[in-house]
Amino acid sequence: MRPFFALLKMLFKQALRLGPAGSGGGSRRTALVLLALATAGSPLVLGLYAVFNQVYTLLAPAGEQAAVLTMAVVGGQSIVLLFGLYYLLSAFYYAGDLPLLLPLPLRPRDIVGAKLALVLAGEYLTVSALVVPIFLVYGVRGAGGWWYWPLALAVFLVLPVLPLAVSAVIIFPLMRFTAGSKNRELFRVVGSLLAVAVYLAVRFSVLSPREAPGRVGPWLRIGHTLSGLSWAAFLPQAWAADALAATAPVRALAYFLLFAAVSVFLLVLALVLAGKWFFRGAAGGYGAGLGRGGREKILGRGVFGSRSPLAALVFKETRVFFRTPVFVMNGLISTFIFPVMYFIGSRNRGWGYAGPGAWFTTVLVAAGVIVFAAGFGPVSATAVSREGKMLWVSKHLPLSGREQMTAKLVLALLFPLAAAVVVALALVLAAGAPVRDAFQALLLGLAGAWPAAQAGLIIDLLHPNLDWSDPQRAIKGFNGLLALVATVVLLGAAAAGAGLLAVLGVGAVGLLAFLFLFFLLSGLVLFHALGRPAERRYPVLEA
Amino acid sequence: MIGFDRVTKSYDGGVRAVDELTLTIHPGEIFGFLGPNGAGKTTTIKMLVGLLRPDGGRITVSGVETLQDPLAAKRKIGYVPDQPEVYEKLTGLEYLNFIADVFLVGADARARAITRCLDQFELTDAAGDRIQSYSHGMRQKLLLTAALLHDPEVLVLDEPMVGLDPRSSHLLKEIMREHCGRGGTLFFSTHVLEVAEKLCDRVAIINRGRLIACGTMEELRADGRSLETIFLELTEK
Ligand SMILES: Nc1ncnc2c1ncn2[C@@H]1O[C@H](COP(=O)(O)OP(=O)(O)O)[C@@H](O)[C@H]1O
Ligand SMILES: [Mg+2]
Repeated sequence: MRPFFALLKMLFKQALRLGPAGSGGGSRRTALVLLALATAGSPLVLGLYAVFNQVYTLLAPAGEQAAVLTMAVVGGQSIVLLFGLYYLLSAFYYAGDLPLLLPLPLRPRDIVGAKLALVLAGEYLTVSALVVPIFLVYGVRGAGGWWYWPLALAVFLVLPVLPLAVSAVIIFPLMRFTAGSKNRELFRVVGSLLAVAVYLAVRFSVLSPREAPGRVGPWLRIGHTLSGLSWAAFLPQAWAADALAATAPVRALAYFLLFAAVSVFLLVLALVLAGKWFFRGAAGGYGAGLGRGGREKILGRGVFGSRSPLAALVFKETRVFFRTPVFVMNGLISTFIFPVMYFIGSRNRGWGYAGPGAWFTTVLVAAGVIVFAAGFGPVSATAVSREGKMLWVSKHLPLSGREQMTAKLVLALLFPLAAAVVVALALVLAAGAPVRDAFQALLLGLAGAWPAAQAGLIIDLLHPNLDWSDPQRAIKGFNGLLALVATVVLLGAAAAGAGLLAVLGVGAVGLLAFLFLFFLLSGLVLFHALGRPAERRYPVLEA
Repeated sequence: MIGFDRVTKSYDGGVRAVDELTLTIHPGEIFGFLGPNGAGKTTTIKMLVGLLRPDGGRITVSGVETLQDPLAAKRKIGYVPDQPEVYEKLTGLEYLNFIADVFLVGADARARAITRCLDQFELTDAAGDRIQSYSHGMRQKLLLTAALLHDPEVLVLDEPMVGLDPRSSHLLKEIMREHCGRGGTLFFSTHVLEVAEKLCDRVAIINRGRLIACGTMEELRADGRSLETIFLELTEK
């Protein structure tokens, strides 16, 4: 067992090492990270607490308050499933540490187990943002018996196990069966995204009832009625919620044990599958790319096109980004998680699009979703870090720092642009909003995405993480978090300004115009602010 | 022409990696930059090509001061680093086209240069493959091809022979001679004395950041001793 724990410790250290390597200052840095996490996360957690407290109040008169528990369990497990695919891919396939681990005297079981433990820890962190506030609401409002608190903790601990096992059952065969193919990186990204799409489709089309809305609004109903559905794979979710809601301790314990037993069984199954398929799926060299086709084919006509230097930079950035699976996964997930949730919410009505009377709120919420797609900074706040040891290439080119940053900004803005399209489509197609509203949201959102992306770029330029050989290290770190904080500050300032104007009696149209101009102005200011580090900081960066 | 004028650099305020280096390399000469490991060769070269900023002193490339007009200086230089780190996700050909675009090499000129170099280095078959499938030597040859694309006045190579097979190494020496034959300037670092002895018109020896000898082979070997003997003597503690 000793080697297993040594490996586990090493993996955790590796995972917790945020930001530039060797920048020292252990405890102070940790405090900073926690502070940033709290700043970025607390509005979310507090907001969710407030929302579900309200929901509880709505449900209690009908005696349906236990529905919040179903929402927590179902929502939490959905999040785990989605992130599980990404975490598993990262830990098992993109980490690239197998060549280092395989020669060590470790059993395959140790390697797989330690990596799974790492993924599970990440899942607890991710899922706690949603589940903890809801469990707290239910406990604080006093609906459960004396056994509620220990049981809630136990359910929380078991909660991610089952969906993680399901993710593993998707990922390991996918990796195994694409291992021999030439374009396997493409297949794998597409395959896992497809799995997510299929999951979402099943989850929200087949399982969501579209019949008459009840007292509590249809989107709350999805979670609740699910407990009545007997779709085998999701039964355990109902057991977990039933355990927490049970009025007698024996009943609660029985449901929980059922839930735990199924989870553990699936986990064991996942471990067996992983042990069987992981090493074969990960083995093998690199994809050969275009392949060989004789001299004529390789150096044939049309191969030597020429572009302007800036266009060449943009193409290079884009190619490197989209051909590095972990960049793509990270970029797509961070960018689209909210837009897709928004789409689904719009589809189920009552969430995104509040009807023609509320066009103002609709535009604001939709625009906010677009700004946050840029705010997570998966592309902007990693733009310089992603260069890593290849920084010398960019630096030895006869191009100014400003040109380099412009190319990076173009790529970074591509993502909120795509997010904006998803949000606009959600408004028009799923919620039936007028095209004009969708267009306003799109414009406002993109105006806000511009300063947000530039803030991420500046942050990464000031403290890039260039010392990596595993591309995951380039994107995992402090800078994305800081970019999120910057976006929260930007939106906070915008909201404060708009609030002030509203108090002064400015109407909805005026407020939207103010926000639009405020975003454009911040964009311009940050565009100029970017020039200084681009010309001063970029030239002295060392890989 | 390359000129170093009292160039100094220290890392993180520590000891000076390069200390008041003054040196002139003339067009048409093959100039070898010798020194033991950690002497400051790579640091000097990184300052020359614009990867590091000197703490003090001036560097000129064909009359252009690198700190005054870095972009103009960079346009005159072709550079190959000691570690061939390069975008693994691009194909060799994509990388070469990227470099050609940035250095404003026209379509015809690049087609000719790329085709010739790839053939010479026997890289044509692999040109369409992702660079991640290349060996160390192949990456080096790719970077060498990239450095030659814009027909630079000044060629700067950091430990260029390390990792090359005998045929490629021979070819590289030919290319170096050719470059200087056309009036180009060539500055390369090495710790392999045999290479320097056979190839160089002039050499400089650097130790712990300080220039300790500079001259033609004949000047350095005035009393008939081998370069090795001189090197060992000069770089002793
Ligand atoms: N990034 C760095 N940070 C700190 N010290 C460095 C760094 N790079 C090189 N050095 C130090 O500078 C000195 C010169 O190194 P270098 O120029 O790489 O020597 P050479 O290329 O001649 O072997 C060495 O003492 C080395 O330890
Ligand atoms: Mg060196």
